[in-house]
Amino acid sequence: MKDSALLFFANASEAATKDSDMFASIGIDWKVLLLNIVAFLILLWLLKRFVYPPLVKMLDAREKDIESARQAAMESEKHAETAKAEIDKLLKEARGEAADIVATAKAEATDALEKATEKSKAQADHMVAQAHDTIEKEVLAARKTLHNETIDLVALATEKVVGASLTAKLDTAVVVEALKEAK
Amino acid sequence: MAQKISRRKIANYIADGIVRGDEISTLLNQAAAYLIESRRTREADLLVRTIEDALEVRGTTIATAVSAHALSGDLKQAIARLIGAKRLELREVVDPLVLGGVSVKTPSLQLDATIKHKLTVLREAKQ
Repeated sequence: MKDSALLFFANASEAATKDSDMFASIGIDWKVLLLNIVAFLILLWLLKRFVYPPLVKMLDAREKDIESARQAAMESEKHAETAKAEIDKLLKEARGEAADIVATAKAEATDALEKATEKSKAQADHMVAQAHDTIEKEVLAARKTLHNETIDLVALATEKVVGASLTAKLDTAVVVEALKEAK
Repeated sequence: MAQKISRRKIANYIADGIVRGDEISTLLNQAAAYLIESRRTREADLLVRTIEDALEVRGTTIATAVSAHALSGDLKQAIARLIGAKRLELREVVDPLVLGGVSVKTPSLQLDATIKHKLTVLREAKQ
């Protein structure tokens, strides 16, 4: 590469001598041009020697990272799909279990409601029976009280009336009747 | 100390005397004297009942009739027929509290047909 560069410069120097007049006619200083070319080539060499390799290395690494990331993303996507399928499966199972739980709960609630209804009905029947019993007892007590009070009133009225109005004649009749009954 | 004479023997003695026609007051005075002497005056009521029992055995019935009004002769005869006594000594008691009817009591019979008794029975029928 060095040889080719020197050859290039020599050819350029020779051409420059020949064409110096031509460059001058169009306003170009071939020495400055040559210097710029040399500077350019040095810059190119420096870039190729020191800049491009780390840059390429960095780009390769970057590409590798991107590829890794892409692979990771694909893995993640696969994982996500797998997880989504698993979640769907779990959700399906959970829905099934939830439906079972709800059905069981409904059945238990219905059973509990029926039991509560039966218990309430039994309690109501018991209360009604007790109420009937109480009413019956109260009616009996009231009848008894009425019966006793009637007896008291009848006895008292009889005492008053008989004591005031029973004449000797009537009393004789009562005695005769009593003696007939006693026979 | 004199031997204690039973109430039954005293009653029989007095009943026999009454049936024989002895003076009743004399017999009763003897009985009273004996009870006082033997310090048995508390048996006087019991002795009277025993005498009545003894008389009934001998055909004389002592009856007590309680009524609100005095009993007529017909009623007394009806009572005697009811009791079935050969000879009836009726002790009449007029008590307005019995209200009406008659109550007859002998040593072996008790009939309470007074209105007062009927009312009492009625009151006892209370529940």
